[in-house]
Amino acid sequence: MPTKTYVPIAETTLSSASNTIVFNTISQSYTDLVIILRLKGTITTHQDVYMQFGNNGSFITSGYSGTYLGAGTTATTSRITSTSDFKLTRATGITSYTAGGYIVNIMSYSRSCYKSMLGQSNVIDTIYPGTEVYCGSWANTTAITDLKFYASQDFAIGSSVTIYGIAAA
Amino acid sequence: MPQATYTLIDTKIISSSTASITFTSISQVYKDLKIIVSATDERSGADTDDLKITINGNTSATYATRRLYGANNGIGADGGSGSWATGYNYGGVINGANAISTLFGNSEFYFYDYKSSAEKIWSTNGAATKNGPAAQITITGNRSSDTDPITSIKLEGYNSGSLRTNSTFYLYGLKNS
Repeated sequence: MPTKTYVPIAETTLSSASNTIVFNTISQSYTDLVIILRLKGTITTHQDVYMQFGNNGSFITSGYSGTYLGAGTTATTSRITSTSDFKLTRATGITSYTAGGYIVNIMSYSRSCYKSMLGQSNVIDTIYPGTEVYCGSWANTTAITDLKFYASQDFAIGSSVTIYGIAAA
Repeated sequence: MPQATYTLIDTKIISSSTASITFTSISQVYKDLKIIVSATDERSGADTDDLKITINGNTSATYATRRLYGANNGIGADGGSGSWATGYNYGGVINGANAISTLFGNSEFYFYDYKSSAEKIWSTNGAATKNGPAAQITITGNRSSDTDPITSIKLEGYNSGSLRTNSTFYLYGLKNS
């Protein structure tokens, strides 16, 4: 029987507004993770959305680096200097009007090696239209068992995050 | 044990040149949709073409696109709030008539929450190379003002070139539990 892959292993849909979505005890049975975020804000201005990795309930605030392509209306690229988390979108984020869509790939999340990630965001509204691509690395060999997504202001009710496990064999 | 997802819903394989393909009566049992495209069209004098998208046959809705692209030796961005269009928008990239007919550009379309009653968004990425020194990579963010669940998706060459034989379009559904 073929191995099942692209398996939904966790999902959170907000029933009340919150600026943080956390996943703990993520299954270690897969090779890679694909994460789909559908995030809507509670304020009219845009926010950046951040991602942080953890292990056994403790989130780690060092070792992150990333480079981004795209900034709303231009094709500029930029290296992000913060090392405390990944910024999933460089200059835009969530609005009260439209959900933003994000696809994030985390490779070899359960292995004892430095981790890499690749993502794409889609935030299209009349205030700040943008699609952006980002790649990053995490200089830490710890297995990722926990994930945190957060912004400075709340995500709206109905915002959701789905984690898929990708099995290589 | 968790169930598998990523289910093939429908397939369109072009057997003779045709202007467009449409996925209709799309199943409403998934969370998100993905379309995998391998295609070429007859856009005259061009190495590549975009794909024009119409959702639910709704030609009165407004659509927006923000595109990042790299083409040959240059990069750029276009679309956005200044490019709201009525009836359709664009994404992905396929080959045009300047490429040999057996060379296909490849693209993915990812539709978030396609059953929701909110405006719809989707992301695309694609790449097409020519049998020569030409290539294009495209990434787009897309939005439609249509608030109905997506039950049909029409794809066609953006510049009126018919889709060529053996172009393929696969529609997948992704469950979230």
